[in-house]
Amino acid sequence: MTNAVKLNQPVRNNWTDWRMMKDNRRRKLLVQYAPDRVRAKALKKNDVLPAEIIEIGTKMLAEIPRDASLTRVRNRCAITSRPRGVVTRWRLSRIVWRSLADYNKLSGVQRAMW
Amino acid sequence: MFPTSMATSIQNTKMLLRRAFSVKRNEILARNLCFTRTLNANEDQDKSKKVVEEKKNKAELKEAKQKEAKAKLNMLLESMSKTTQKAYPSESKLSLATPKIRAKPAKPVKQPVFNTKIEPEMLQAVEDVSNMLSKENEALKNSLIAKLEDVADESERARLEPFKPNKQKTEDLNSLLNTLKVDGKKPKNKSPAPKLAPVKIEDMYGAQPSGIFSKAHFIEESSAVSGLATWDMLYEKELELAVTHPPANGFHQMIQWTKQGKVWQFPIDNEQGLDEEAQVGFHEHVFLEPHLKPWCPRRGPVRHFMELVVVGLSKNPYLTVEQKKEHINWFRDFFEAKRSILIDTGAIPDITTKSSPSLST
Repeated sequence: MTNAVKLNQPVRNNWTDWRMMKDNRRRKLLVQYAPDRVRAKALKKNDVLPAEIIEIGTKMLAEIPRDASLTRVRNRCAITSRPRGVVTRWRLSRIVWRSLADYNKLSGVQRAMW
Repeated sequence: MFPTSMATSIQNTKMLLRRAFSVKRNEILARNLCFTRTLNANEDQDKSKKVVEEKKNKAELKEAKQKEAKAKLNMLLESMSKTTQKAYPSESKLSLATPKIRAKPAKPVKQPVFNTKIEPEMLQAVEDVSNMLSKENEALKNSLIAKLEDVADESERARLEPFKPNKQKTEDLNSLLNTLKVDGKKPKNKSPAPKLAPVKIEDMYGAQPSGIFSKAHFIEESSAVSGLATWDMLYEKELELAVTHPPANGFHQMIQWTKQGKVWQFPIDNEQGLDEEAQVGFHEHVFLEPHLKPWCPRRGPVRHFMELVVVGLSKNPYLTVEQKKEHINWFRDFFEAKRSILIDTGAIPDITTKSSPSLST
């Protein structure tokens, strides 16, 4: 797993592919705008405050960039950037997970037999 | 045959050259004529006579060569004898009759004539010089031009022929250099360095400033930002690598992580590393109403909203106390900014009616 990414190559970045890079960018924005987003959402999604305040809340939410949304983040495989079949606990695609498990690299993971 | 007008110097040189060439040409022609005559003669007569003549020629050639060799030998012997004679004094003490010094006739130079082109600029210069010294002196001009030609010819000859060291000249040079040899003795008494009088400093800091640098403009060393950001970064990385020692193997890596505290301690404690947070009591997380007290109105939609916010925060285990406080303060600032709207809508009771500066009533 340490040699999954070759760091000596002359490349612009060391992400597996561009989608992985964009996903990373979205995660960063998510962390950055999280407080503003929560407050704007709270102002918008309530029936207690007057309508004008709710309107202001909706505007504030619209101003925040779309990539700061949680729904845009995809839990990809950390090595292959596979969007589907990702084992959440290890953040790895099922294929990578299987290969590592077979080589005894995953702690406590054993071939199932019952 | 040729136009013999002696007006310009260029024409003179051309004339001379043409004459030389014409002479040579005539000689060649003559030689050819003789040869053809002899050839014709031989053809008429018998072959035996021709053979005899050839033999005679060969003999003559041999004799000529022998004569030349003898002449060379004589020359060498003469040179040798000259060196031996040097032991004796050349000058005699007797006052003998000395011959008159007569100008020797110019010998015909048997050296090849070169077609040395004297540059028109040079000729012009020669002309100017002659004009300066004596105007319209044809003889002077001619002599100067002749000298120029000689120099040119000599240079050409020297250029073409390989350099042969002249023995006489080298011997003279060597004798000269021997006289100029430096003595082995070195001068012992060197003139001592001029001794300056010791400087008497009376008062170091009381003297008047000399004002030497009053008008000096010291150029500040330009500490311009270098545009090589990548290079600087890489240099710093290299420095770090030189100082630190990256782990050689997995064991070294584990040791390093343990020292840094990155490794899980057993039995596993989920709150490992969160020591500061552990010191904060749960009451600070849960009881957030005191933060609302100073500013929030007791009744109304604003209070209702903030109560909901506080309930949500109290149930949030992921935020720190500081973060929760900041959250509440943000809402306070927001409602303060939108105060006019709140008053218009009737969410907050009008302040003008009541004499209280803050939102709370």
